[in-house]
Amino acid sequence: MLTVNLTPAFVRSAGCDHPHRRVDYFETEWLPVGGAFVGCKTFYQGYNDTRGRLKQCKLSAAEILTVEQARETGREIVAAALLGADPQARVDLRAVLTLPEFVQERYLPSNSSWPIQLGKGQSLPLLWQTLFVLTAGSDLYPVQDAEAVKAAQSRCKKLNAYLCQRARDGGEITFLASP
Amino acid sequence: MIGGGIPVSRVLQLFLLARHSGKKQPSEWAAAAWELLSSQGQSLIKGGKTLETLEQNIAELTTQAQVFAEK
Repeated sequence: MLTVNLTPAFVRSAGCDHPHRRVDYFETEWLPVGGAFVGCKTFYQGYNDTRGRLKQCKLSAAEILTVEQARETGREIVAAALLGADPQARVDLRAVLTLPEFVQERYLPSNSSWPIQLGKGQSLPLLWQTLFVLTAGSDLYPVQDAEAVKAAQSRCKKLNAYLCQRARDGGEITFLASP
Repeated sequence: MIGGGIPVSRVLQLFLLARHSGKKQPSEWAAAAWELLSSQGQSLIKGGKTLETLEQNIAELTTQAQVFAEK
């Protein structure tokens, strides 16, 4: 076990000569209370599960998290494990498509004029929440392509005419259709 | 598939109904809306207070209709 003081400089200079050979560097000798270590420049966090078994949880590639961010994330994992939670479940959540990935892989291929610079670490649930808020505030509207709009126009007119007639009797429906 | 929904108040829907029936001026939309609302014993509420008189209701409806027409 190589115990080192993990610093940004050390992480930058840590060797990874062989793609299949893993070298672990532990920040503390007693891993469960907090050492993040890097093997092939990946941060991990050790912890004891509910049965007292030593486990380790992958945090991130060293290019993504700083040492301090890895420590902070590691502390959260250890704290969660001490409370009986399963830190690996956290890893599963992190596997959800992030907002930048979603935009890059799903949105941009069909929309080349996306104007917003998206930050790292924004998750898909955050995207949905953002869309809900913007839509509810009428700052954002769902749209269809031109052909679908054209096909829907006559149906929209008929529905809106019916809804406006309904407005004579009361104000229960405060929406109209838009193609 | 139709599309999405956009919020449109009952009063604005009544304006649209009036326009669809051939009335072109916002004042005409307001009069048509007031005719219907008053026949149902309803009045507008503005700033938390019910508008009591015909003039107040017509004036408020006309203002809303003019704003709507400019959109």
